Parts: sequence; C-alpha cells; structure tokens
Amino acid sequence: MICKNRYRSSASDRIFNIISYSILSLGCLLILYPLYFIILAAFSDPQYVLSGQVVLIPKGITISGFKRIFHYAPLWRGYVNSIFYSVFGSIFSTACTLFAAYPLSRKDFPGRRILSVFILIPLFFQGGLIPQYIVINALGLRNTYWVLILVSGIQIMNIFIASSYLRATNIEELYEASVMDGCTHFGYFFKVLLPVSVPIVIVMLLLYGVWQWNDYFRAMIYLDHSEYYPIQLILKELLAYNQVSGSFFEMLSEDQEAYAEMLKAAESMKYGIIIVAAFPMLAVYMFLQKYFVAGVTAGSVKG
Amino acid sequence: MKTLKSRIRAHFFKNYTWQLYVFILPVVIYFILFNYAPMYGLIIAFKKYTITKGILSNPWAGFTYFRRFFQSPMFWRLLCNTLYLSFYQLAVSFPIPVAFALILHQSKNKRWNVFVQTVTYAPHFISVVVLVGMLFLFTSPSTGIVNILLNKLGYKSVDFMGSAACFSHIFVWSQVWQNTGYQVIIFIAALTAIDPALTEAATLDGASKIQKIWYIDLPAILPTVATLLLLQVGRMLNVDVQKDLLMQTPTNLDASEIIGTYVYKIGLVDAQFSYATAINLFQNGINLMLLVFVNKISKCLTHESLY
Repeated sequence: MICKNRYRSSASDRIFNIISYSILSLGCLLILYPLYFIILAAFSDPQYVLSGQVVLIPKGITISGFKRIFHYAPLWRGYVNSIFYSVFGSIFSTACTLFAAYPLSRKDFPGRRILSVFILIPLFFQGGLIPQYIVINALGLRNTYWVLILVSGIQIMNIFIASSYLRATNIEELYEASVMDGCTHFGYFFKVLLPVSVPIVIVMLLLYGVWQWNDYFRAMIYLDHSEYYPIQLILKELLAYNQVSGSFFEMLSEDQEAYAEMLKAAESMKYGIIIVAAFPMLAVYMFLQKYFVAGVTAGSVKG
Repeated sequence: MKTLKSRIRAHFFKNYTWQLYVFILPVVIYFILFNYAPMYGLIIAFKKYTITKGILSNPWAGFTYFRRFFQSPMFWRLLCNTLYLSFYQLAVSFPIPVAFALILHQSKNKRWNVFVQTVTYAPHFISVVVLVGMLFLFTSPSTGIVNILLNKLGYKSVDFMGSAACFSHIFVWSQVWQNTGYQVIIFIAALTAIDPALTEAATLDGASKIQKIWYIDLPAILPTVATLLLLQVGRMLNVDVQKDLLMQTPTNLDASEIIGTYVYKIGLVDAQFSYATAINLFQNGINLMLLVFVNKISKCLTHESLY
C-alpha cells in the first residue's frame, strides 16, 4: 500500500516538476529576452537590426551608436544631475526617515501615538497634484536643485519599515548598558543603535537612491530649465512618443542622408541609450540584491 | 546599589526625552510643508482660484467645479477607463505572482530558485521612462522588431501604441513583466515562514506537490494574499498615472485617458487649477471610501485592521 502510494505520488510529482520547470523557464525567458535584445540591437549594425536579421546573435558588431551617444552633452549633464539627486536625495531621505523612526520605535516616547497618526494620515489622503504644485511654487522651490531632493523625499512606508526594524534591534540590554554609561538619546542613537542597524541604513539608501534615479514625473512638473534635468527627463525626450526629431537626432542628418535612413539610425541608437541609462541600476541591483530583497520583505511585514 | 544607580541613570535619560522630539522634528516640519499644506490647499476646489491672488482672497465657487465635472462628457469616459484598467490589472497581475511563488516554492533546487528570483525581480529596477521607451521601440510600425517579424510572417504592420484597442493589454502586461518578480518575493517570504515540519509530515504521508500546495501552502499565505488584495482594491482608482501619461499617443486617448492624466492636463497644461483639484478631490474621496469599506471587510474576515 505504502509502496503504491509512493509510486503514484512521485509520478505526479515528476509531471509537476516538468511543468514547474517549463513555466519558470518560460517566465525567465520572457523577462530576459527583451533585455537581451536591447544589448543585441545596440551592438549590431542598424541595417541588420531593422531588417529583422538580429534575433539571437549580434550581426555586424559596431559601437558607432555609442560613439554618437557619447558626444551628446545633455545626456551626460542629466547623468551627472541624476547622480547628484540620487546621492544627496537618498542621504537626506534616509537621515530624516531614521531620525523619525527612532522615537516612533520607543515605547516610552510620550507623543508616539499621536505622531504616528500624524505621519500615517497622508498615506491615505493627499492634497494631490495641483495643491502640491501651488505649495511648491509658493515656497519658491521650482527650478532649483532642491526640489527633487525634497518633494516626496520622505516616504511614509519607509518610516514605518525603519521603525519596526529599530524596534527589533533596540534591545533592552543594549539600552540599559548605554544608560549606565550615561548616554543621552543622541549618544545612544548615533553611537550604539546606528552601528548595529547598518543593514536598514543601506536598505533605505538603496530604496531612496533607486527611486530617485528612476523618477521622472516630479522633474517634469517642477523643472523648466534643462540644466536641472535628471537623466529620466532627458530620456523621456529621446525615447517617448513623437520625439524622433529632437536635437539629438538632428545631428545625424548632417551627412545629408535620406530622412528615412536618419530615422532608422535614430531608432537603432535608442537601444544604446537604454543601455547607458538603465543598466547602471540593474548592475547596482545585481551586486546588492540581498538588500533589495530585505527591503521588500521588511515592507511586507505590515501588509 | 547597582539598581539604584541604574534607576538614577534611567531618570537622567528620561530628562532627555526632548531629544526624541528633536529627532522627529525635521519630519514633522516636512510633513506640514509637503503633505498637510497641500491638504489645506484642497479648498481651492471650492474656489475660483487664480495664481495671482492667494488661496484666501479668491471668491468661493461652491460645488461649481464638481458639477461641471459630473456633467462633462469626459466624466464617464474617464471613470470607465480608470475602472477598466484597474480591474484588468487586478485580475491579471494579482494571481500570476501568487501562482508563480507557489510553484517556485515547491522547487527544492536552491540555485535555480535564486536564479529565478534574481531574473524576475530585475525589471523592477528599470524606470518607467525606459520601459515605455522600450515598448515604443519594439512596437514601432516601421522599425520595431515586433512588426518586422510580423511582416516576415506575411502580416501587415500594426501600430500597437497608436491603437486604443491594444492600449489596456500593453499597459497591463508590461506591468506584469515589470512587477511579477517584486510581488513574488513578498509571497515567497510568507511561504518560507511555514513550519517545515508540516511539509515533512505531508511528504511522509505521501502527499504530492500539488496536494502540498493546496492543503499547506495556499492556506498559509491566504492572510497575506487577502491583505494585499484588499489593499489593491482600496487603491482601485489609483492607476499608474506616470506610466499612462508616457504611453499616451493622440490616437489611443479614447482608452488611455484616465482621471489622473486628465487632472494633470487640465491642471498643469491648461492651468485650470480649481477644476483639476476638484476632479482630484473626487478621486481621493472615492479612494478613501473604498479603503474604509475594504478595511471593514478585512476586520470581519481576518480580525485585522489594515491601518
């Protein structure tokens, strides 16, 4: 009886395994192929790409597209701006987030309940786009480097993620020992709690940094001068609908080729632009994956 | 003696409670400026606001703007498009990660699991601008790879991004492509919390993998699934505006114009601040009601409040 049962279950499991591997492999393939195709297309000769001859392996390998991209100044200006926004934005956001998370993680903090509610309310009800625009305008923040660092810079969920992490780290013995050594809250937070909470600091820096790098909407609303543009806004001008005749692609018509040819070259160059713009974040993700996973799972604790 | 000393120290520490307020002060100031001031600014929905005068000195308009919105021919189109995209997204992008996680959790090959998770999570780090750029690039009628391959197979080129019929499919399935891995991680975390003894006992009793999924894994992650599902329902009207805006072309507006994009256009492109704020407030109000409603359900079902 047992034998029979075992045989049957392992047979059904074998089928399950086959189906499971096929589904998961198919999923991975569907996700990887578009990314792989971008690399293929960026390094292949445009004429082969546009005639559909580049599907699995590159053909007519060239980096001429990248050379043109390299000489396009606004893209690099955006690059530098985005690095600035990401670095300082994530430092500012992380600092504020952790500062707020510490008192909220303490049971003996008198204003804990009311301040939690104060911070939680905007999660469910916001002023919305227009009132926020009016406030930012009134504060004189439009067209400054500050606006992207400040607007939406502190995310409510992150405060609560950090606070629940600190609550778990904030062990009674650690606190007692510090008190014995005459620590004040400042001393305790900076000298004791922060050094043992390095993972959450890294998670916060990364979450804010990636978000800052990938966001375009605030920049589109609050910035009018291209000198402040982050990379995503430059990309939007290059990649989004109906932007083929942007200044970047006009460079191509210098050689007086036919308009259609220019269009094709421009299209194929977009692949290179995507690589230059998106792959740094993918690289960051690949190397620091465990922190991002930790960030997601920490967030899911409170639904 | 030691306890007395520590008590004295604790008392000393208590005298420094003001430092806790110093810690939270930046966030409080920030929230007043960037979250609560805009909430106060919502009153311009009831006023004839012009940017030259302040909020207070403009005349009241009552519910004029709300009435205008409800009577406008755009109202039903916006509402239908928004709800349709929401439901479609919920129906597709919610079950897929759950199923994916359940299947993945049964696989005991650790390296394979890590590989699958790494790959599926990766698109989450691609910005929405690049994602939509990729969509335009791949589906371009003249130069996109999809249409080139269609031509090779003998079909005519289709302008996918320009078609209102295709819009919702592209919108939702690109979302699936980008976010499945992210949600899988949440469910995998819930699945790894299951007591391994349960699964072992089931294996000894000869349970097949499908039985284990059905009788152990699924019930175990049901609370997580229910909570996330309810949260999604509570955000029913919050379709991803930033992505929608990027995907819009003049010819797909019939399907792609949603409340959020309309607010942006009316407010910041046409500078009708009060009208746009009224529309936005309508959306926020519905969202809030949905959330309260959903929370009631959640309390009944799981005895847990979402907030």
